[in-house]
Amino acid sequence: MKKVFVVVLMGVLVFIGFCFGFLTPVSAQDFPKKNIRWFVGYSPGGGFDTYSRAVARTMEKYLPKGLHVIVVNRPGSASQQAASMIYNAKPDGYTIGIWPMPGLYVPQMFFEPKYDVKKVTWLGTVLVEPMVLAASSKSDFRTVKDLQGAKSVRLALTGFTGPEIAAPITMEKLGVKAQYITGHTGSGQAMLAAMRGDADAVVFSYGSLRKLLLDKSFVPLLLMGEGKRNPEIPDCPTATEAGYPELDDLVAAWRVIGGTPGIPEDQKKKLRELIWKSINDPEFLEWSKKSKRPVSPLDGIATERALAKILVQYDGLRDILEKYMK
Amino acid sequence: MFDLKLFVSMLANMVGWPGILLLISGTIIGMIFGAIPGLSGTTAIVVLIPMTFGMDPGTAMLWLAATYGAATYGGAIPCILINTPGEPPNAATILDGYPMAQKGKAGMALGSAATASTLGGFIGLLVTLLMIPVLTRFLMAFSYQEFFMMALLGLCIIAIVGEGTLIKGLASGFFGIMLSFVGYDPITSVLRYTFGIQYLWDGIPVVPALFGLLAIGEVMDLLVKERAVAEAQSARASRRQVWAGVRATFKNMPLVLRSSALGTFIGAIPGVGGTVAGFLSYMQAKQTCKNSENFGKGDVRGVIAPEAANDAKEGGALLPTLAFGIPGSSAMAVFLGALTLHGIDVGQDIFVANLDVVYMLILAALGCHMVAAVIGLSVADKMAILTRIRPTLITPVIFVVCLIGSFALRNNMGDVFVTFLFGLLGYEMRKFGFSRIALILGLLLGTMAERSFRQALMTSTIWRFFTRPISLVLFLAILAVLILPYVRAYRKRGDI
Repeated sequence: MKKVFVVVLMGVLVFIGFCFGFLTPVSAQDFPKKNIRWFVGYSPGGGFDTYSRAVARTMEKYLPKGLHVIVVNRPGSASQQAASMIYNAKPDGYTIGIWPMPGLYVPQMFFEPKYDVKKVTWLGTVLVEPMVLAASSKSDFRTVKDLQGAKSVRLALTGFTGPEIAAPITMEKLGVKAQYITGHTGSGQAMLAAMRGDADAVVFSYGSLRKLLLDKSFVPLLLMGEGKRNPEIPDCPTATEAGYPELDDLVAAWRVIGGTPGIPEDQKKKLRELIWKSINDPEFLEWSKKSKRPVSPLDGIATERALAKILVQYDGLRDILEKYMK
Repeated sequence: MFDLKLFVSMLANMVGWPGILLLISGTIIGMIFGAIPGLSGTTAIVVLIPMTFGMDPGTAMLWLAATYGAATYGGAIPCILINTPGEPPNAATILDGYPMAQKGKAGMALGSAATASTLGGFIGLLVTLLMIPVLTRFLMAFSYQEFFMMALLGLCIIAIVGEGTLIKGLASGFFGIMLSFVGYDPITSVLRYTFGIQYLWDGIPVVPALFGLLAIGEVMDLLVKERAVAEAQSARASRRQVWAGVRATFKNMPLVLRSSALGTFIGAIPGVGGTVAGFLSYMQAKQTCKNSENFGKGDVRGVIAPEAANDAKEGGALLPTLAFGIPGSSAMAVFLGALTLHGIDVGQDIFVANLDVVYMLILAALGCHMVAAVIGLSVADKMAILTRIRPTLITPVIFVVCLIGSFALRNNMGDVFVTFLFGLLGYEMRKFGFSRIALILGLLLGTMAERSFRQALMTSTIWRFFTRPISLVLFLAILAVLILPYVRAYRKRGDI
């Protein structure tokens, strides 16, 4: 009987010990203890995927030995599927990803996606990429005034989701009468459509258009979101120079790193430090220079503030965006 | 300008050490990934990329290009052995590859697939490199009208291939087109027929549906009938059978050349899709070869044509990638990403600053086809043994591999359910004689046809379909495809 009592008591003590182990919150010193999953809402090979893999590769240098950042591609619905995965994961800091902003806010303005960008834990920004309004060299348009004076300008794009919401915002602010040719399966298809003469112009990120701008397949008309002229296209005015400073704020493609809402404060701080170190790492910056993939690092707090401001501006565009989204 | 000294130097690197090791290991990895449904050549590259971070870019490209190039042949293996394409572009190989296996000629099918893949890969690359200016103009001549006609031509294959009667084939095809309407409207982005289910926003995924219809449906049939894939005594595949396949391919060189050229041209047009290349090549083979009534019943030419086109298309896909920096296929997109991760600017300077990497990419693509042919031919007779294994042993393995393959595509459990549901549908369709290939074609090409038709009407009038030269030629080809079988049948009756 005594033996039974001792065994039962030991079992109870062990059980209580396990409970303490599970219930005790993981401290920042323990984090991270396992691999971190990084979701990308696009297929491998594209810009979001490439930046993600480059940052993930650098992050591993700052993680405890043996831990990795696993990049998981989850394409679908212009990154909304990946956003839902991150948003609804356990808020333990082990599920993060790259978010195309403010593009992912636009579906939230009109529908009910399974995420809320206003609650995401923002960890940092890799790049605020300028967008370029460019005319096909096959078209007759060479300046913004040419577009504004035309009866109709055919604009090729994939759709009105994601970063390409920049196209209708740009046309509306410039007062250009645009006819949108949507349905292209990617930016490459839309650019090819313009190059063969099925469209007159496109609005895409500078990185996507760069090769075609440099080989003169496209003529850059307006640079938005940069603030200053790009030395590779020195004749292209900025939106502010052209008299449309609001486009510099509204139309830029943000590649932002975000995690699940509700990540504990100490883990959030650790993640933000990890990402900040990675995107300022000398090897990462060297890669950026060699591969001509620019970066514009922002820390988590600055990202949070900047995005909050942009989302308010987008709320002001509701009437313009409604006719494209519904 | 072609730099012969640099080209020879890269060739020496490839056949030296450790180049040769990477070439062979990449080829083996690619064949394995291609052969396992759900694990494509693109997946293989994505998995290997982190392992290349310590390598110089040229060496990295050698390994990655060898892996991808071999996967396109690897995808033919499950087509022939278990009625399931390793990747969707291999789907057309099933039409005659699997019937060959059922007749006990799996070795011959595998031998001809290996040879046709190698020759097609070579021809595709050479044609692309020699005809860049011509292909560039051709690419630019393809607009929405041509895309629509291509999709329509692909849909016409329903009329001439597959199981069951024409009416049942058309019914399956139209059902597939109906299913293609689920999800975002390609033009307005309005959601259609999703019933509030977020999983359906991007439509019914083609690859999991394909696995279900073909593999799972077939597996269920094998289990119910308690038979192996091949019953015939002649299923004892031997080296002789494999070499018979090789000889048959060389005997049909005009077909190989035609199919490779077709594959190259289609591969050069981004957005058409690799699957179309295989099916169109099959169709042209059936329309142009003698005794075409044997197609669909285990005719080796029905394996040669799609396999040659399938490998040639990758050569074509290099064109927009190198010429414009616009990926010609999803694999090219991953290659561009890999180059960027290695610090290479994939802009116009790549031909100046990194010509060595470009040459290595091309050499590796050529080299891996040779290595894949040697390996493929060496093990083809061993692989054919799978067709004789008892269904109670092989079917659970195929079942699990397909479900895992479905999950591996997008890390999405929904894809597994789709595979399972379409598996049940595929079994019933097989039982009642409805063409599963027709359904897949409808699902695959329905969106492309709808999108390009509406884009064409956004930019011009309906008459432009008939006034643009290439569009008109394709329209006439469609009429020929539909009318020729009746003309032939009428002539035959006249001759009797």
